[in-house]
Amino acid sequence: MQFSKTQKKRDTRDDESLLAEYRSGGSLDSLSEIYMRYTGLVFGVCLKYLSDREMAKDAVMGIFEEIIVKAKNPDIKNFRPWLYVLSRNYCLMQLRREKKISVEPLSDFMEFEEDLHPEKMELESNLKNLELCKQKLVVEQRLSIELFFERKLCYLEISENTGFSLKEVKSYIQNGKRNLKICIETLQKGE
Amino acid sequence: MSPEERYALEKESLDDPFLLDALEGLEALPSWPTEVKNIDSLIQKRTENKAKVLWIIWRPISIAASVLLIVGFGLYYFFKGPTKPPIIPLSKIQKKPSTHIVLNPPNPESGSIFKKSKPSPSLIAQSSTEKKASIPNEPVKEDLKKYASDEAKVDFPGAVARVIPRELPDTSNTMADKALALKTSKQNAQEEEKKAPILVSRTLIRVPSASAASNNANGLLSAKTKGLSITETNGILRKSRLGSDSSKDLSEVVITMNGAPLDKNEDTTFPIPEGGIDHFHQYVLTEIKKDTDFHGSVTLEFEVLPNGKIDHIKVINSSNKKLNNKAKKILLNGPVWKGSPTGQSKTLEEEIKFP
Repeated sequence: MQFSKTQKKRDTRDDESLLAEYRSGGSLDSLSEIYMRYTGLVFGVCLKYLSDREMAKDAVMGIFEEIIVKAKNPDIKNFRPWLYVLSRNYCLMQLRREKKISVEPLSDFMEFEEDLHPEKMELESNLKNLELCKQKLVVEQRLSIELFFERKLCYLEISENTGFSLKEVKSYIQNGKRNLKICIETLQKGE
Repeated sequence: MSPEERYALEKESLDDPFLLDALEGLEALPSWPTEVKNIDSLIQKRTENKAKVLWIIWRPISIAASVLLIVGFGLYYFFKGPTKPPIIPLSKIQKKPSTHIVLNPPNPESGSIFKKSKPSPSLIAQSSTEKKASIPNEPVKEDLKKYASDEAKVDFPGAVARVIPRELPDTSNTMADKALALKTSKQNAQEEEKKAPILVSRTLIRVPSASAASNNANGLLSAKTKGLSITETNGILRKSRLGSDSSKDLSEVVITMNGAPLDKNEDTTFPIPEGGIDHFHQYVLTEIKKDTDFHGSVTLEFEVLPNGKIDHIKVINSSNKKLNNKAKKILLNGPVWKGSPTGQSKTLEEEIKFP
């Protein structure tokens, strides 16, 4: 099961090759090979949205039935983000049928841009701005960001050190990161 | 998972929403690795089931298609397939050789053919009781000579008979060849009939003199002498010496008629119809042409009385019973016969062929 892109792949062939083989009339084995690489991620997403183990398992199988048909679409360029959007939409539709919540599914082909890590910005000018913006953050956010990015502690360790819950640690880190980004962009525009 | 590994995952998840959501969901289920393994096995089963389902669907279809194909081919060959003609083995094709003793009249248009006749009981009886006449030593009658066939090369006085063997032609295996062979044989038979002399009466062989017998013994039905073998082959009598070459041996000629030896002193002159044999043949031809409804041949045995009248008519052989009476009528209504000069009744045979 591949959680990270940097982890070693089980099969030497990449997703695009197997997908092309499936589209060219190959057997279902090619598609199942790709899907089994992401069943953990799909299961996790389904667990997050459906909050039920059995429902999540059924959703994983249902998503597989859907991609048997939809994977033949030649417009799919990148399978991994497409599978995430498909899984998320499937779970939201399940919730919409059962709980009738007004959740608009995302487009299947919406791509998520990778957020630039603050360390990837220009060093000299951005370091000054970064320090300035950090001072503007809320204490919890600044502390969580410093422990996570500078000391490289995991959420659990930060939680243990600060007494924050895991959810709060995640929230502080994500919100602090977004606020830093906005602040740095504002300063760059001002310059 | 070590803190460093967790940190790596968490750091990566900041840039990967898919990973971020998945981690959030999996954190709530500590046994998620087992669950993921179960899901993988279900997916593999699902993949195999689809193949099985396809096989279950296609298997009966393929079997039905094969059966239909076989039935279709069978029906095609049944109705329109090539049929070979039945092969008739040669052993089943019967050859029916028949030999006919015929005279060689110059007019072969008559429908009667001489046939080898059975020994006449009256003749045999006469030979045993009556005084045996000496073998006449006189030249061949002119009316007999003219009947000799050029082919037979009759030099022997009174020798006017020749045998025409008849055999069915060889047939090949195919129907076409067989038909052609039959056609050819018919044509040959017709040609032979044209050539063949048509005789009315059985030949009674006049015993030749010793000097005449030294020449070709043509015309004899059969003659066996000491050191001399006379046989007939394809209508031509041949003479071959077995031992002695002396003509003196020919004085001991024994004449046989169909295998029955005759007394050499017996009178062998035979009756002739009035007007000659040509006239009789013409009469027979005219009569058989009148009735074309039936076809076949009838062989009659009849006795010519000394006064020339015909008596004791018997049907010896007939291929169509409906022709028997017709043949008898033709014989009875024909020309009067000249009886034997010796005053003896003579038994004769005649075969009339209705075309």
